[in-house]
Amino acid sequence: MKVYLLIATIVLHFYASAQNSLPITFKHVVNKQDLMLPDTNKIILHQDTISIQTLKYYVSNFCLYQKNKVVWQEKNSYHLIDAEDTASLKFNLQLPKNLQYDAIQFAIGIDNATNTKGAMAGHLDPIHGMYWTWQSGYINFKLEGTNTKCTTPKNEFQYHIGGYQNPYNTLQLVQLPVSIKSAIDIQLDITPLLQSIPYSTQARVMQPCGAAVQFAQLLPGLFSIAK
Amino acid sequence: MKKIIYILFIFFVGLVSFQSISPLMQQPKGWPKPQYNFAENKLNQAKINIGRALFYDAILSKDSTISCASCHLSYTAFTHVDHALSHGIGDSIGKRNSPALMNLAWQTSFMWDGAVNNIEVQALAPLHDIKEMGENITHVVEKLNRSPLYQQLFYQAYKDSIINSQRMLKCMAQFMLTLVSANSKYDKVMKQQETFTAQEKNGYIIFKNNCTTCHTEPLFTNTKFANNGLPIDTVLKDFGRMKITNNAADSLLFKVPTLRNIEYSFPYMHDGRFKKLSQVINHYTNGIQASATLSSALKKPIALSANDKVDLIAFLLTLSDKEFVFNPKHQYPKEILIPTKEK
Ligand code: HEC
Ligand code: HEC
Repeated sequence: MKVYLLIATIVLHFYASAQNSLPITFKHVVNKQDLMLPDTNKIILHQDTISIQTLKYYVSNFCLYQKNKVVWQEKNSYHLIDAEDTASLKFNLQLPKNLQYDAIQFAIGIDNATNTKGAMAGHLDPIHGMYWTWQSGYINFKLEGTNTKCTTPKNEFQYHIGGYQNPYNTLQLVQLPVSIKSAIDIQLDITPLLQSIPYSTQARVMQPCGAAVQFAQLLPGLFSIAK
Repeated sequence: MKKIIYILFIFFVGLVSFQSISPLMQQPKGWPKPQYNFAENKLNQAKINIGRALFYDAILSKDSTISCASCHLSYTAFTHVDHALSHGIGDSIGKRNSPALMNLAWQTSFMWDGAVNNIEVQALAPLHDIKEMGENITHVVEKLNRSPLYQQLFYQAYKDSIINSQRMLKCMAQFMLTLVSANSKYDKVMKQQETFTAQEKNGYIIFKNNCTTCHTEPLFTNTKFANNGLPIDTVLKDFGRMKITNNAADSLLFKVPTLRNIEYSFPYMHDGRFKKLSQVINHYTNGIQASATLSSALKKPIALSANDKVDLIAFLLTLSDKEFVFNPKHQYPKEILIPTKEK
């Protein structure tokens, strides 16, 4: 009898802890083409010639929704996406088996509490160049490149978007409807962003400020589920 | 029965209030609880040693000429004496006066404008400043990983061979957190082990009447930001806290510095504009510049006689803690750093 019980608990245990890996892949698109870095293929948008050197950002606090209710949250959910580093574009979410969900949510950037927690490791390690050193805080989203429209030396633009305190909190949420599939590909199309940046007046945003918040607010609309 | 419960209650309250932060750091009697979360970075002698070695090691600067101690000397309560503005690599001159370092576990923000939000990430600022150490954290971590000395020190502390920025920064924080100054004459008088002279006593009364809104006992700072009426330096154009918050209400606000060990930490103010305490006192009596953000505590003029000023300074000198300033545990760790030079 005891043996049966033991076997039953072991089986139950395995069943309960059974996990499904859900692969997530981030894809970057510009002008209907895949964005490949560091190959600086020139992008012609209207009359401007643009090239992208860096596209790097944090996605964090992944969770799944079913009928507007959170059904699953990733623990320690911080992922640094670097368009230049293909390994960073893919990771797995570990879900319980048979989980029902209809939407995925994540934040672009790092939350307030984590920003004040002190020295962090892994993806949050300041060696990744996504931490401001003269003023504590993570850079949530980094876009660097050149545009013939910029009046700066070498036509460079640099957008380091961050800030975790009001009124300059730049953390943004993205929620996307998903169907249950074996993998989810999330696409970021930066074309509308490149079109709406006021390059001539603001080729650089490098600290928490109103312009950073405006920039950040454009981001959620650029993400979609790739078909 | 009620009596027994009462006694037990008092006993447990007593236990809690006399609890030390760690065997390695005592909570001074009568002080508030530290702001730093020691549970997430438990003090450990091997880690404090690493922090101390790093604090004194020029390996943190690009050309190995500058260490943290170049601008923060233990003998002067960890400030850069005699330099109004701190000097970094290639003799470049910084924008501000280096503050004295002590009782950092009781602070929630660092730098004159509060730019740094946690003592653990403090070191990143000077490390990356091209005028201070001109390095970057990635390269410093590489250098530490190549160093036999640090390989050994980190192994002793963590029992594995990982050296990363988090460990390095937490160790540096540990050393700085242990810099506690709580044994000045003032403290001894408060503990009724010594007594003030008549002059010091009068100075203490003047101090309590005019200064404690901001320089609040026992830390001698309320850890907030204030505009204490200094006219702006038209060359440096430093608006303090406003740079961080972009809020006009924070224009010309600077962090209220502690006055402990003030005898040693001249020159004074964020730009080191005053060399002597008498100049500071004259600022508070005659130099307050009115402005939209001037603290209300200083709107009413402070009138002090010549004798009062002398007495006030006599009181401020009772905040000197010789044991802190000359503590060998705070000084250059010969026993740790010298052996490498022989290898
Ligand atoms: C070139 C001189 C210089 C060097 C080198 C230097 N500092 Fe500083 N330190 C300063 C100055 C100046 C400030 C104030 C800066 C400000 O307010 O903007 C400061 C501020 C600080 C503070 C904040 C204190 C407070 O009460 O707010 C701490 C802590 C500190 N430094 C630790 C360090 C450590 C650790 C190192 C080595 C990694 C270091 N410093 C290297 C000049 C220096
Ligand atoms: C409204 C708050 C406030 C009051 C009241 C005040 N102070 Fe200050 N004190 C400050 C601030 C803020 C600073 C730093 C200002 C700066 O550097 O720009 C400072 C700096 C100092 C310094 C220089 C410390 C250093 O390390 O450079 C001394 C000394 C000092 N105060 C003494 C006094 C005395 C004595 C009184 C009473 C007569 C007094 N303060 C009243 C806010 C105040």
